[in-house]
Amino acid sequence: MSNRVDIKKLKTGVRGLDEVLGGGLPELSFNLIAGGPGGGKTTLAHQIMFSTASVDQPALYITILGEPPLKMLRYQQQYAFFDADKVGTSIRFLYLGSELLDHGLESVLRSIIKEVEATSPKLVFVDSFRAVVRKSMEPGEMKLQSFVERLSLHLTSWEATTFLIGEYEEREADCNPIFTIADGILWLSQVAERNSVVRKLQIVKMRGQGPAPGLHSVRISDAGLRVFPRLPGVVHTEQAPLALRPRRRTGIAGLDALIGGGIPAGYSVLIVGPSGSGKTVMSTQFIREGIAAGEPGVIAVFEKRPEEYMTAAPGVARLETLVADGMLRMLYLRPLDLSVDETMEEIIEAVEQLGAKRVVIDSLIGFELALAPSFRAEFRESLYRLVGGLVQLGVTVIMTAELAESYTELRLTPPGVSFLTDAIILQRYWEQGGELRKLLTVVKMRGFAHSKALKLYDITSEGIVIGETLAGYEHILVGEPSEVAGPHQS
Amino acid sequence: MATGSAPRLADRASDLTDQLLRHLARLVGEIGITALFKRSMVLASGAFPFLADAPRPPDLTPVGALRAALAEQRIELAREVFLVVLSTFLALLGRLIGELLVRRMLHEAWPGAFHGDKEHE
Repeated sequence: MSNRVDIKKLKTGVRGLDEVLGGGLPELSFNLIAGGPGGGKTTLAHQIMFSTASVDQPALYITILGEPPLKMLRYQQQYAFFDADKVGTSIRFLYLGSELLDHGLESVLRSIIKEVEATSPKLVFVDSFRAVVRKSMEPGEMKLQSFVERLSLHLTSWEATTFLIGEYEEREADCNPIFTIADGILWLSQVAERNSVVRKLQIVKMRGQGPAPGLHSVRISDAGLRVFPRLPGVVHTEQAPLALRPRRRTGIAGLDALIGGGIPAGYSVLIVGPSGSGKTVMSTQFIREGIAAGEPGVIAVFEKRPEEYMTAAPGVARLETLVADGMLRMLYLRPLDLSVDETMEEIIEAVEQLGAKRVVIDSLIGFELALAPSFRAEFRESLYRLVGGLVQLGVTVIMTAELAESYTELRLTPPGVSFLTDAIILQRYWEQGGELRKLLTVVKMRGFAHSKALKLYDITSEGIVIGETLAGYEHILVGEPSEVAGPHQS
Repeated sequence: MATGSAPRLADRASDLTDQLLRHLARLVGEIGITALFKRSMVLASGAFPFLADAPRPPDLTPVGALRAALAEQRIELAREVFLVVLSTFLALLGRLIGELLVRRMLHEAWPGAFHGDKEHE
């Protein structure tokens, strides 16, 4: 039997936040929600309050200067989480700005304590705590450390989970006593780069539990604030050794034969080729084949709009029907300020909701462009995390990448992405008899033997149809074809 | 509202208003609430110029000014003016934070005034 105290974790009601916090907020903790202006501190505080406050768990929101309460209430009402029915019942607002200006910190502290003793709130918010910090610097005022310690001890004694909200700069973290006393620090920031703004959340500390490290992306919409954990909580699927995993047929008969009967579960493939070579068509066939076998699929589109995608894909009506039937999810992820975390979360959420076994990411170039500039520098690392997360779920992933056609050199993938995938299928154009024809080959297939043949193929209304082997030539891929003497087989 | 003389009505009206403004100030701050009430007086003075015209001591609060103005009128007019000022103030507040919140705050400030009207909300 353990004598350790069991610290309950409060669910915050903010999507993604509990995961980042390590399961929720420790009950009775004394927290600081900090960051620069416009980072979403008040919105986060309100969202936590409106999501968690109830008659049994009342909340007290104390405003001390900072954003005028009338304006705060006006703007916060615009978010879906704002529930006016809770105001005055389970949520009480208290303004102490005048108290601070007229009577100082001692009086503010007395008023807070009096209110807390009278109403026994389980959640207490003090916004903006910055005003308290400034006041404490005036001559003759109560020292900040004393104020914070007394507030912290009193609120903890009254079993309240507390949030101080305030604007701070990162350099203050070393010398401000609040940062020492606080049990938890939630740091919100926003970074602007080339017209794009990315919001971030960092759990600087959270006593008694292990928060997810790093900077997590945050998006604020009409629904409120949503956190996208940097490393989404993927439930790993126990997978058989590679050689024993089931093969997922591509729906392209000739292609399956080249790769030993299909693509293994929990495996990733990159299809590279020039514009119009049929990368999307091949991917779509793979998805449709899976659905026909009862395996739902997800297509993350970063370039074409879903409706265009539906139109462009072979078997138009059927693809739309598959979406309606819940066997296919199309994710349109084109905004140019996407974060990698958001993208991962969207795709993994769709995979988990649908029970998808197959995912197509079309295309990597579009994915990179859709990211906010600050994320592009870490694109390869992000892609590695994304593919790794999906593969661990047992999903088979196909990615496409456009490769500028070079007729004088052999390039297999865009720079630096080949190591991210288990297999690479290369598509190329080839001029023969006055016609531009298409050929493909399997460049690599980690852990498996595969055909090395160059196969001619066509794109028909039914999709890709693999043709004969292009035998009898050499140096085609470097643009200097020449006939090989001797018998040829196709 | 008690019937009788205008000064008595003025006293009662200012007490009620004080009670409301104090409660609202506790929730959302005195400065904003006082500014809103001042504005409602200014708007109401369009129809009732005496609200703005009469000379008042500079340190008189807006509620004090209303009380003084009402006390000098006939009781019927004083009642009408008070209702106009109050409804203007509540409308201004409602435009800022929404009618639902205003209604909730009124219930808290004047709990007796809404006794038994739950079913009419």
